[in-house]
Amino acid sequence: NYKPPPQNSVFVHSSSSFVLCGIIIKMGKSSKKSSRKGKKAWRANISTADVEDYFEKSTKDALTGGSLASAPDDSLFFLDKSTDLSVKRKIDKNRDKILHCDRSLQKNPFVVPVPSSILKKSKKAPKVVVETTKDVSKDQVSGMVDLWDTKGLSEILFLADEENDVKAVKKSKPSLIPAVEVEPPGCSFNPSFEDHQDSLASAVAEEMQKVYKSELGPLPVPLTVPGEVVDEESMYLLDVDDENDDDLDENLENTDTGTERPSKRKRVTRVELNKRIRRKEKLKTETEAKKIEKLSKEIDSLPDILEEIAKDDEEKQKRHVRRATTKQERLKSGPPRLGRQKFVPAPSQVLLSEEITGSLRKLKGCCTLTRDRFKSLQKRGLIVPGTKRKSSPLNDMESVIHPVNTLSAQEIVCVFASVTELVDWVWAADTGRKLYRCHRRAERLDPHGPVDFGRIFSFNQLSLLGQVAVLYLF
Amino acid sequence: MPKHYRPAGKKKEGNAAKYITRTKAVKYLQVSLQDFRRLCILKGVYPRDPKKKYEGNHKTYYNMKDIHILAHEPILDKFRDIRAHEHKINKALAKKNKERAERLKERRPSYKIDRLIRERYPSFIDALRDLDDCLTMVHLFAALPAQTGEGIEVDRIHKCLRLSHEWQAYISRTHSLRKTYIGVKGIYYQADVQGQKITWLTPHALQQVLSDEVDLKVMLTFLEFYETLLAFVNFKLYHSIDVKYPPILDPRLEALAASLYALSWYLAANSKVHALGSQDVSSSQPENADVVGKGTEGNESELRLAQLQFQLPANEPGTLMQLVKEATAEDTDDNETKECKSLFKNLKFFLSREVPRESLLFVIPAFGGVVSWEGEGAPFEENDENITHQIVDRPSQGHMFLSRKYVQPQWIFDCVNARINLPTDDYELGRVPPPHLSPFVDNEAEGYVPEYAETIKRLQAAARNEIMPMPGLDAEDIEDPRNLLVEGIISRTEANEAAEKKRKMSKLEKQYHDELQMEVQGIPFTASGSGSDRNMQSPIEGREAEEEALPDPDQIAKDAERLSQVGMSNKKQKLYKAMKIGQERKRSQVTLLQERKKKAKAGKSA
Repeated sequence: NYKPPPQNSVFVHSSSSFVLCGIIIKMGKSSKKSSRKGKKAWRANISTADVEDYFEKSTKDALTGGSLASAPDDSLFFLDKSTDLSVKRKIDKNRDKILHCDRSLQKNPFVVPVPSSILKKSKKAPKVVVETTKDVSKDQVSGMVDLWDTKGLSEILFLADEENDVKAVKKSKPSLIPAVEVEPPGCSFNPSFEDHQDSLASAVAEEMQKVYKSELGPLPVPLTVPGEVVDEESMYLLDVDDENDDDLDENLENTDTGTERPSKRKRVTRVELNKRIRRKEKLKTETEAKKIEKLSKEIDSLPDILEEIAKDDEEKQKRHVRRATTKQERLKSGPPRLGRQKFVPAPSQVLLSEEITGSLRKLKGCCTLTRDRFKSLQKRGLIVPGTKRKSSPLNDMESVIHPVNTLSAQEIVCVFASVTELVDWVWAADTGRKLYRCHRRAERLDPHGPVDFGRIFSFNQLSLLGQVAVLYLF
Repeated sequence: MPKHYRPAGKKKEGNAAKYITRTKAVKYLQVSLQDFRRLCILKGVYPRDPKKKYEGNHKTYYNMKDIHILAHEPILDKFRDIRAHEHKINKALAKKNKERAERLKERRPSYKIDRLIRERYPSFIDALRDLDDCLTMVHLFAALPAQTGEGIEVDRIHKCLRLSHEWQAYISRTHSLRKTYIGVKGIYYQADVQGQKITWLTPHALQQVLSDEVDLKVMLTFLEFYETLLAFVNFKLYHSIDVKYPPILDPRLEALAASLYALSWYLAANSKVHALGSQDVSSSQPENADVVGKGTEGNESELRLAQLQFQLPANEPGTLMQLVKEATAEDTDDNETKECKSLFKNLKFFLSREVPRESLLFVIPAFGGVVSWEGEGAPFEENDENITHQIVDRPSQGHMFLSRKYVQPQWIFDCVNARINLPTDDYELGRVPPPHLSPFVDNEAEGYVPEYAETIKRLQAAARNEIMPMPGLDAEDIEDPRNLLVEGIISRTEANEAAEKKRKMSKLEKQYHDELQMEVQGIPFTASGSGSDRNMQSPIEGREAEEEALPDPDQIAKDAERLSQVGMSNKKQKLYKAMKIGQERKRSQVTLLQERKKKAKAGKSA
């Protein structure tokens, strides 16, 4: 039996054990090679594990303050109540956090709602908007359904039932003017003589009206006024002089009035006063008499007065009728004033007498149909007549396009060949006027009718073409 | 205190409450002015003219109610979405994030105006009634040059062209064209669709110019609405004659800019197929199959194949005629349609290159004629011997066929307006044709009848007289004898007319006297209150009154007028007076015209 050695100190023990261990290991290793004879070899084979265990245990116990196995349960385990919460706080913790503002909006079960508000709510059926099929509607090209077929429409338009029966709002037509006004017979491409004269006369009258208006109207304010330029300094001086003069005059007047004394009043005698009073009374009576006389006269002439009144009434009535009719007429010819600008009708399109050839091919038709449509929209009051936008060379070129259209195909081939060589825009605009003059000539040269260039070229190309056409023709 | 002062809490009244200025409306709706304009056009909200312009004469006013309606419009939200999307794109571009910008551009929100159309035109008839402007605009834009800078895209123009052709094809197929008129501005047409008179204007084949007065944005917005409307109308109309609506066209013809012709083929073929049933198609299939194999190369889809099969029966010129015959067998058409259908029946036209092809291709089939033109894709060539008329518009013609007549295009339009085949002498090559008169003028109401209108009237009467008593007469030489007989017939018809006039006058007189009698009867009735025996006597009394009245008819007329005026309401009286003034003006104009004519004649003879 191994007995522990007498205790000196814990520290010493432990150190010795460490040393021992090292020795043992060394000895174990070397034991294989060295001989096993002698006491020393015997000792080397004896296990020291239990001794070491004991030491370890004892030091551990010493350090931790006694073995736990011997300690009572009570000292080892206890209920930890330090972090416990109250029941109320526990419930609160499980609840969702609601902001105060939200909570105040929540329904209070203790407050009974006002009965009237309940009734209103119950009457309204909840709206259900179908949105499931919306994607399909996007794919569909519009115009490929029967819009006026009431049966299938709800599927087509993908609307909720309430929206399906679209409320037809009966709208009053904004104007009496038809959408497409047919030109008068005089504006035919081959009009009869009388009709043409008629239309021409009205067109001329329109133009003349403009001329007269500008002639008879007030002269515009001249841009320059004859006279010398007055510089600022002298202007001040002029003003100063005038003021001085005025002051002087005033002073003079003041002195004049100051010297004049108020004239002494004449004293009114009793007699005179009485006279005046009597006169006054007399006048009064006279005027009253006159009044009565006048009245009686008027009474006598009552039928005349009645007649006069009737006349007046008639006059008024007539004026009223006149105004109503003129207003009606005005609405037929144009819209009411709808904005800052007045509506200005487009000039009527009439062929000149020499332009009537009877041939559809040589017809010099109107090429500003866009403007015509736009004016029609304005005329019917659908849009407000606006300000004229900045003038562009487009406007000047209006007349240029036409003659180009009357060129024949052969000419165009030649023209087209040389288009690529000439690109000068400003010059193209200038030649516009020349080109207009050559219009007639182009017509005569043209053997096989116009070619529709609108389809082939853009505007820019056309004006270029026009420019080259001039070169070609001259 | 200002004139229109209103205490703080008080509500607005009168015009200030009923109307709102444009600036205020824009602020109220919180949209840009452009969007407001577009919305107004799409919704059909127009500026008004209030009695009192409470904010001045220079402002534009809208009905407050209209603005309230606009505020609830779902499209308004769409506009806002679009605007927000634009902002996003701009932002992406500013940050040089090109990829994102592209992606955003592809996913632009769009809106549809189908519902608006339905809202504005609750029934189909409403839509038809308002189609004038729509058609004119679509036809105009079909003729405009594409300008991407101005916002006129090529696709847009092609769509307009397609829509207009579809419409024309329908009209010519159903023979519902009624009037045509060539003016300086363009060619006017009037059609009768479901009892509605629809007038539209198509531009001449000229380059149209965009002037700076025109706000193209506004026009394009209108066009946007009208395109959709016309598509819906076309759909409905095509389905009413049992044809599939988005028509499938022969791409070859379309490429040759003859889509109108292609469409009419399609229409004819389709409706024929519908009429005859599927047997016909199946029987003609084997023949067609090899033709198809020859005509078209390689990769046709099944769709095109089917469509070609539909077309081929109509490919031969004879079939069109058959169709016309077949259609006449149906008794569903009214008299006028029948008349229109048979105007150019059995006539074959050939168009020279210089005549307006588009309009003639539309007009001639609309009146039952068969037409071809010079160029590729034409149904028959110029040297076809069956051609009866060739439309030319040039000073001289090189080679002339004796079997056909050479007429100027005006002949077609005049025939259409007069509803008879006019003698072609006046319209021959190189001559100045007689004046082209407007069919939109009511000569009787105007009181002035142009000379040529009178001759046309006589010819019409002659045609009726000739045909009606002798229906069995063979129609081979109707025209030549007519030309010879015109002189004789004219005198006869004149006599007829005079007799007719007399009869009319006597009728009118009788009617007038009857009315007078009634009035005379009526007055004592109301005065006395009773008088059954008077009722018995009244004819005699009436006659007496008549006798009394006869010596002084003017007085009677005046009295009657006054009497009727007394009966009218104040408003009606005014209207009546206005009418009188208008009539007076018209009469004076007529006399002026006649005088002018006399003078002109005197000048000519002198």
